[in-house]
Amino acid sequence: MDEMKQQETMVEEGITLAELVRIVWNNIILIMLVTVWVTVIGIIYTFVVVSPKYTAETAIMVQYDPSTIPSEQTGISIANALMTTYKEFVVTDLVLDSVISDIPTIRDMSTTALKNSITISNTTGAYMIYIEVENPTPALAQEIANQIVQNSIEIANDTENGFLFLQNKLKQVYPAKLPTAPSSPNKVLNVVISVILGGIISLGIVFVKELFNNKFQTREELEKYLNLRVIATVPGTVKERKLVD
Amino acid sequence: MEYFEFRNVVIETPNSVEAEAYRKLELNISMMSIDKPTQVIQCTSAAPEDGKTTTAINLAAVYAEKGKKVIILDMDMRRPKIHRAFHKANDRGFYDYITDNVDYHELIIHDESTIDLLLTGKHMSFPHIVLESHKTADMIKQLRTEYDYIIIDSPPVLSVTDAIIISKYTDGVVYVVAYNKTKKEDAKAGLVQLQKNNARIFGSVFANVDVRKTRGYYGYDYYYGSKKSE
Repeated sequence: MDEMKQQETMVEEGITLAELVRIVWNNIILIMLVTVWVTVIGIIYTFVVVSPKYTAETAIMVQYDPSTIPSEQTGISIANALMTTYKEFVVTDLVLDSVISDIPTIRDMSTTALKNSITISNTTGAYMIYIEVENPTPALAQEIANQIVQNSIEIANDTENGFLFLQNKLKQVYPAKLPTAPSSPNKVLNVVISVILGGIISLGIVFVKELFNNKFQTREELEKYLNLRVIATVPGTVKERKLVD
Repeated sequence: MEYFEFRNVVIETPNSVEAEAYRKLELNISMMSIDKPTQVIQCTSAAPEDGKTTTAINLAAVYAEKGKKVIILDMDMRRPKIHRAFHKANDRGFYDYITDNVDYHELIIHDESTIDLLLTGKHMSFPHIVLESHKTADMIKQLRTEYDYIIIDSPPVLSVTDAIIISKYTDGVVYVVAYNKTKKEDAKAGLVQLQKNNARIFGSVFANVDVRKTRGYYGYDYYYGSKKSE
């Protein structure tokens, strides 16, 4: 009895998978069309709509005088605290507003917009902080990156400000270079995403369409739904029938 | 107005897969008629244009092919189609038998395919009353003695009560369901109506199946169907 039930379940599953394949196969043209369209839209967006952006990168090192520290352990925790503090400090309005006022071409830029164009990162174990600035103009990206580092060090070192914690502990490792190739958009990635997205959208459309389809597509469906045996399956399409007056 | 031409594949393309499907329909009906002989067969469906007429004319052609004496009665008084399928004028028919007491033998058209036809004739008001009359019952009773098979093309079940009335005169009903056209709930509702009225239903004909879209399945169905009928 159990065996029979198991067999029935297996048959059920088989039909379901076959049904899925049938649904996809029957709508293959729709799937391909939607996928191609979404890909085309993705390509147009990537190559025409989106303006390329350039990223300039610079790095800053956090350092302290080992002679002033009682133990190595204390030194490590101080360095970590310095890293975290600088990462927060560099994107404060104090630093960013000074950068905006120092570069005439970005006078109209808001502090938030500037903040959004900056990426701060670091690698574990190294006391280096990388500052990346993205901008449609390569030269401006380079200028902003260098200006940020310069201004942040100046403000930190300024004795009048009284920021003792970061004072004389920051050093630019290398200045930002002029970026030669755009960093975004990632054309290949965008096209790949468009293709995948197109596939997902088209499959979604097809399955929703099938879900709301209340017509008989297969003989099994008919027999199951009506609980009536199909005694003949007649092939033919309405299109094949000739129209007469 | 545009009409579809009804193709009698059994006559036009006797070796086609389509013709073979109708032969299988006849075979299945005969298998179900071993204990309970079948003579009067009704072709109906839930909704219009599902393929009733095409099924009726092709089934009749299969009987004719087997050398049986067969007649098609067009009992779709509201939208008669049999005359179009056989390219005849629908000027005389059932109407004349009912209203003018004309002998129905005079109204029967003998087609060259050896299939006999009784058309509807002029338009009739209140077909359901006419269909329930003794005259109709008498005619079918008489026809049973004259023909091996009587195929009745009837209106759709859900549109009017005619199909249900006709089912009372028949030995069995062939329920036509069109691929990707008949709505599931309509097919169910029509079938329930027939069953409630104690109609004997042979089974369904799945018509107009797009083979390209059900390729693998069709082969499977065919095999499965043949196995079942063995």
